[in-house]
Amino acid sequence: MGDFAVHVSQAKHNESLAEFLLDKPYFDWSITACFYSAIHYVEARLFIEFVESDKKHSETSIPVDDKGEWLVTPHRWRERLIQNHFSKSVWKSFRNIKEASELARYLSYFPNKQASFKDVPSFKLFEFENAQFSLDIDLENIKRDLRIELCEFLYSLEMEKTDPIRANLIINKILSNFSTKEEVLQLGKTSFKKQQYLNKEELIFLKQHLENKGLSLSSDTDKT
Amino acid sequence: MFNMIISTSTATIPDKITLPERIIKSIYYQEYLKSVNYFEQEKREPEWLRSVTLELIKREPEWLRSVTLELIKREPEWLRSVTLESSLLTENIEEITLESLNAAEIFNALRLQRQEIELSIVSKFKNIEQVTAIYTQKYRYELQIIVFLNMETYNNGLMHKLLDLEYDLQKQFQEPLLAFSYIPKIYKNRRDIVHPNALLIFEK
Repeated sequence: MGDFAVHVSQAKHNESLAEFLLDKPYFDWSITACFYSAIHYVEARLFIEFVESDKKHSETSIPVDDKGEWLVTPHRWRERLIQNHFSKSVWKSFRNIKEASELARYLSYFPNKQASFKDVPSFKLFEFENAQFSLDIDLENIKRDLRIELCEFLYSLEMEKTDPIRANLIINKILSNFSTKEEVLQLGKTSFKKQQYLNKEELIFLKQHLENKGLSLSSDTDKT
Repeated sequence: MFNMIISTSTATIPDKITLPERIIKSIYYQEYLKSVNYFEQEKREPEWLRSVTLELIKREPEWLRSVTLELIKREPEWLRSVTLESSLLTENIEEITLESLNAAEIFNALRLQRQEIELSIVSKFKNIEQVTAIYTQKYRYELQIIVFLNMETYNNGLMHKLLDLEYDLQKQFQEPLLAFSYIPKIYKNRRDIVHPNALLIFEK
């Protein structure tokens, strides 16, 4: 499995497909593309959470029995990780997209081969509003609460190439206290120090990498 | 509990009774003790316990066999894990009986845990108008919960309402892992959709 950037790239690719299908209209497949986008956004954030462990992907931490066989299914385990690491809002939006997409693909799973269904194909369960909800409400909610844009900005500074451990520490501290790139830049180094979000060394490290990209904290800009 | 060991022991004792049956005997034995108010009486000697157990095993082999088969059908995973607990048993019938009593306690605890979860699920979902029935079934370390809805097309508003309730249950019960599925009105017969051994825990 890929690192943060690879997951986000795949998530955006799937999200574009969801948007494309919404106009056709293939609402059921749009929802399914949304689900595969949501998975990669979640895995991208889990990568940051577990970057220093050997469990950077949800499927590498599934509990197993003494024979090494999974005790729970991978999708259910991912939901548990979302519940434990992220907000209720992310969990709820992810669960809703997953339920809809599974109905769209499988009508859930049915062990009885003689199952008798109504004469209605799965795509008839979904209307434009359902697909739009998945894309504009649930997926947007997931991206916002996981602070994907801020993560992308922080990774664009390439701090991990200089010092991966320090970079991860700084990224996690910023993610715990800020929602957007603008909030980080506007607060400036004085506020950073005052609020003790970062220590002196971490602040210098961040500032250096911002400068490498032609950026600076707001207080630095004010001086010039 | 996630490191719970699953086994499929098929060891037998000289009288050709398999280990799961021994466990059922002990469950039956506990029920018997309750029926004679044993626990409310004076403390009994261990020897008396053993003799009563052995007498029950001798008298009720067919009944025990039928209950065992039912348990294997309904709770195969739990039964296998409990069976492993009994794999430490010796060939001595008295020791086996005592060991199986311990195993039965574990089994009963798991059964009670499931009942508690099921009661909580029903109390949360029963007042939602669109919920028509709820089934549960075991899969590995998951308790799968299938919620049937009177929903002809996908309803995001209803789903978010249901997921609010599910979230509370997920927080309340960390183990076993609760795996909810919500099924709209797309079937002719509900029983076609759930596993044949699934339990109906709520119906309108």
